[in-house]
Amino acid sequence: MKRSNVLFILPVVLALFLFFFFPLEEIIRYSFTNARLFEKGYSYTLINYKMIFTDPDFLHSLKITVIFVIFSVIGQVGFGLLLGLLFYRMENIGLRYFSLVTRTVIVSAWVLPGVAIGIMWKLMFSDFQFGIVNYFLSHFVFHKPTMISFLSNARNALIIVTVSNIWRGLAFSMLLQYAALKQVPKELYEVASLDGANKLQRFFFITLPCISQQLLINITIATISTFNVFDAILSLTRGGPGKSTEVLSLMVYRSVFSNTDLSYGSAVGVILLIINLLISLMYLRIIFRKEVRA
Amino acid sequence: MRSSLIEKVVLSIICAFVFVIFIFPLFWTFSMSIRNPQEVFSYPPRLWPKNPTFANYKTVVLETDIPKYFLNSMILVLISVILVLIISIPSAYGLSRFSFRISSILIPILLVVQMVPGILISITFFKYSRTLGIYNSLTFLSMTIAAYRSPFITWLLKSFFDTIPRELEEAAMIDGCTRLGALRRIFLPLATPGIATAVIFTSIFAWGDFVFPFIMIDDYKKFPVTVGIFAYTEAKYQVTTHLVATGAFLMVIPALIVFLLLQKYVVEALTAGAIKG
Repeated sequence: MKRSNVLFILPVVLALFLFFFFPLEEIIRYSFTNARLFEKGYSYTLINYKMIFTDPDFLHSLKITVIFVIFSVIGQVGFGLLLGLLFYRMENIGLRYFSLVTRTVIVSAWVLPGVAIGIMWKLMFSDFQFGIVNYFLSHFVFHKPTMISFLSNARNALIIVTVSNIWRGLAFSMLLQYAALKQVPKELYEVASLDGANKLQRFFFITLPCISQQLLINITIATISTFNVFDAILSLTRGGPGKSTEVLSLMVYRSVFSNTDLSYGSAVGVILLIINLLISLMYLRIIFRKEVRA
Repeated sequence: MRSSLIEKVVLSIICAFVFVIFIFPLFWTFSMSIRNPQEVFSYPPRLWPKNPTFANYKTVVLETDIPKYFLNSMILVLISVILVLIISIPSAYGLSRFSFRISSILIPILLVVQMVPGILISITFFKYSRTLGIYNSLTFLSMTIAAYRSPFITWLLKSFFDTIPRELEEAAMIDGCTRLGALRRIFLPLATPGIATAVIFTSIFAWGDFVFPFIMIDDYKKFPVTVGIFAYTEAKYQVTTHLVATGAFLMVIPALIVFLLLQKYVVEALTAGAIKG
């Protein structure tokens, strides 16, 4: 093999070093200093990591993030599977066209900019006159004028942020589960029916084992992308009310840019990075195990 | 056949419900964008305004900076796509056709770096940008966006290139083509569908990208749509709800058009990381 062939992969290697490894090395380094955003000098210290695990803001943010991620992933993967089953069944009983149109609408949610999604959800759940969800609830559910503070109440805001994130990520899960369901060999179901297995048994003993690989991949990818959500939350709640929807990525932003505490924000970022790295390693194990088997 | 009919009806109702949930936010944003400010704040809210008007669109186009933001976003998309292709096509070709000693480490790394939060990378660039003269530079912003997406695109293209038989290029090279000639005449035409997927994937992300321009640009004349319209939602002393709705709807239109015209590629890009190992 010619040496010059290395030139082919040089561009991506350069991109990795200049735009990933170098910036991350800097963030990790800052996290061990007392650097401020707009000041030049700094010295090395472990103070950020000593402080972080007793900082109520950080612990709160971590808790909020974990709740947000767990419910988002359960919602995305769970509803993704249910929708996959729905569309799979609809194709089989002659509702192909309707299923296709609905799938298209779901996937279209995925191409929208996160900021736009935040704005759209804010318009619907607003406390103002145009908050159509409140209007629907007063009219059709409670039958009396009701104003639920969806976005100005701490617990409700977290729920809405989570639901909007499920809405946004459902396209990916649905497509994945739907594709996985279509790959389950039909003969397996026929044989099982002959053996007298009912619908539930067929689902648990044939469908689930056949799609378990895709479910695991789905869970890991949904987890990572939910940990990194930034734009949709910022435009929906700005992390508020108070700090009630301030997930880790927003806390990094606030620490570094609003408090100009570069080193502390970096330390929060490093912890976010470590969490993501651990989940990514799980993802790699699943993906490459699959390659070996196939 | 009775149970089958009941099943059809039940599944159709569920499906219709899902359809409404996914179309409604878009519908409501559009419905808000065709109201005058008084009707935005009239109660009870009507699903469809009493006097629909496109006045907001006129205001947005003629009296705000939003058209400029659109132009900036288009420049951003164009440069990012070109840069991603420059980075990823040769790299993916190299990884697909030659076996380097570092391939076995490099390929998993291409997948793993997707998990790096954009906010962390942008902090470093913010810190260095003023001294390097790259703060407020759309070109550097495009480079960041392109570099951020290039590992995944490289991996996507590599798995696509793996399906193109290398014998075709080898035959061309035996007939006297250089490797680059074979690449251009034989390989690239066959690789077009994969490259199209890469282009669409990058365009959608570059169009919707928020965190990099949010941190790396503060000159409003250089805002892309995402940051520009977000800035409108921050306006505290004037009522801008009708304009924000209009801007948000305008912002999603290009993404929706690309998606509806090129669905096949979008779906491929969306599921690629998960289905192929």
